[in-house]
Amino acid sequence: MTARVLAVIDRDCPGTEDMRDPLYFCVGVRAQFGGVDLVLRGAAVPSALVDPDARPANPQRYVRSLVRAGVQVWVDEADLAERRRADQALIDGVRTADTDVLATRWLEYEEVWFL
Amino acid sequence: MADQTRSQWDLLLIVTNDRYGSVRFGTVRRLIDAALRNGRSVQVWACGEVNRLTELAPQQSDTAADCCSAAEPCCSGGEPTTAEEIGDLVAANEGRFTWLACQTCSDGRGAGEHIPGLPTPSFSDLRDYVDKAAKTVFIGGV
Repeated sequence: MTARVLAVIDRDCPGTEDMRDPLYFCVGVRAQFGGVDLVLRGAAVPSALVDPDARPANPQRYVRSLVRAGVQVWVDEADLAERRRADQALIDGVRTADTDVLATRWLEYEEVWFL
Repeated sequence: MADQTRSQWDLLLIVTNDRYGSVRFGTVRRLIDAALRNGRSVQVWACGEVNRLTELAPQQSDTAADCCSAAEPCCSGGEPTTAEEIGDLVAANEGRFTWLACQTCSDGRGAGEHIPGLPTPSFSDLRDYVDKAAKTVFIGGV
C-alpha cells in the first residue's frame, strides 16, 4: 500500500534529536500519518550510506529505523553516483531510483513534503 | 489531497527552524500576511526550537524598568518582540490566524510558558491539523 505522505529531503541531515533534522521529523510523523515514504536527494544522500566512522549522533540511525519500520526509502541514482565513495554501501533496504521516475509517483500520495 | 469540503483552515504552515523565526521571522510573517490579505485563514505549527519564539518574556531587571517610559515602552526602542508580534496577530485575527505551540517540543526543549492565547497541542495531534487544512506547507529547514 502506498503511504499517505511522500517526504523528499535534499539537504544535509545532522542526525541530531531535533525537529530541525528532517529525518528525525520523519520518525516522529511516520506513525500518525499512516506511513511515510522517503526520497533522499542531493546533500541528504550520505544519510543512506553505511559509515563506519559515524558519530554517535548520525543520520544513518534514523534511516535504519525508518527502513525497519517499513518505510520505503529511495535514493536518487544520479546524486548517489556523484556522492558515493567506491567503498560505501547503501544501508540495507534502501533502494535507488531515477529522479524523474520518482516524480511521476507524486500523484499517488496525498501529501508531498519537501522537508 | 485534503478533503476541501471539510477543511476548516485554508493553510497550515509547519515551521521547524528558528532561523525562520528569530532571525527571519519576516519569511513566516510575509506568508501569514499574504494569506490573511487574500481572505484566507492560516495556522502556524511551531515545531522544535521555534517554540522559543512565543515564550513569555523574562521579567525585566530594575535597571531595564527604570529606563522604560510611556513614550518609549521598552529599552529596545519600542520594537515589539517576535512573541508580542505573534500575540498581536492572534488577537487581531481571531478565527483566521492561530499559532500552535507544540507542547511536546516545548517540553522537550525546556521552553518556558507561552504567551496567552496560543493552543498547545501535542506532536501526536499534528495529523489532525493537517487534515483540517486545505493545504499544508512545510517550511522548516536551513
